[in-house]
Amino acid sequence: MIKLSKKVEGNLCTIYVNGILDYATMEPFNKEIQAIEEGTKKVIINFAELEFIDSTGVGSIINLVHEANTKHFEVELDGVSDFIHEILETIGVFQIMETLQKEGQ
Amino acid sequence: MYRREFAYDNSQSNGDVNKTLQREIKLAQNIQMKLLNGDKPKIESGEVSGVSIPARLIGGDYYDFYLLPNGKLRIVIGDVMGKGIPAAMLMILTRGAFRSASESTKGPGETLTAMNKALYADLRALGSFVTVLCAEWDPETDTLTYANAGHSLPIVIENDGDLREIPKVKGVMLGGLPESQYNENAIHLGEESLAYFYTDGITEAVNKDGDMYKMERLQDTLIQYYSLQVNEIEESVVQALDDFTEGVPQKDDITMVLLKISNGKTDITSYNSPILN
Repeated sequence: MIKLSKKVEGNLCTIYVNGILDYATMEPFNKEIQAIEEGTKKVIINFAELEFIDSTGVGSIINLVHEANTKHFEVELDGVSDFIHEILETIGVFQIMETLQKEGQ
Repeated sequence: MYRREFAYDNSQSNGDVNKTLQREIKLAQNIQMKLLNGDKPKIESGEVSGVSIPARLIGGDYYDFYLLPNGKLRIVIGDVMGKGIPAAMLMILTRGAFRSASESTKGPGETLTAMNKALYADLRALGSFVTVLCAEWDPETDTLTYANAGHSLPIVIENDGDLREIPKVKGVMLGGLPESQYNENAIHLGEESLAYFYTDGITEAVNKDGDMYKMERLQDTLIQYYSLQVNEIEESVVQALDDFTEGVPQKDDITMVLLKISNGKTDITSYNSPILN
């Protein structure tokens, strides 16, 4: 189960993810990502209420990071628990974010 | 490119179409099982083995062995993003990349770099990725060298049953960045020690209360059974998972590879993959 909510303030878009981001729930998350408006300069994904993420969920995050690099907006992951942080760190998500953001500068 | 829409003979009933699809899925499952479960290399004074249990009919986990002309054995375990048929198709792609790369690269780090170069464009186009741990066992020096593309490190149990913390090595998953380079680390494996490679379907298996199996339970199970033969250790881990999950359906593919060093000098004597001259 996943619950999503979005807050837009100027060119900052924050998406709050509550529940599980996995194979069964990625569709609404991907739709929310696709609906990010043109002109957005920064997207914050708030994971404070994220309970679990599987490889498909991680794939959605990586695709967002690549899209941000192409469309020139910044992505930040906020409120990441130690457990989720370890998963993202092991897979290399933070390293991709760092590399692509350096390239984009 | 010409593309056919999914179509079938209108005279066929839904039941016929379902039967056709089921037969094709069954054939795909057979192909995957045969590719995954080929003969294992035989090691004198030691054993290697692997097993993969898909969560669905077919899965996206992968393991393989490749014997090199210099007598070293390259081992790989991987997890394709997603599940089912799409993941299985990418798993076959990964297998081909590993086997090609193993022939032309000097070590696990170079193997992963070559695999990433080969797979990056396809994986990015598909919005997918693969986590892979590649290792190389040298029976001459009793050294296990390993490199990591976003995967969990192996668990090593010493011959006295102690858990050994191995040096970390990090790397981005295959399909993450086009120019990824992969560093290596190495450890000496003593007699009767066990190196256990695994995918997260094991540690993230869930029971009726929603609790995960987690690393600690896996380590405890391995410490309890490490002195057995590799196939018995495999069975013990699968049984421990069954006992833990108590019939809760498996959500993710489960895969493990075991390298166990026994008494005396290790010698790889035979293998089913091509041996280069």
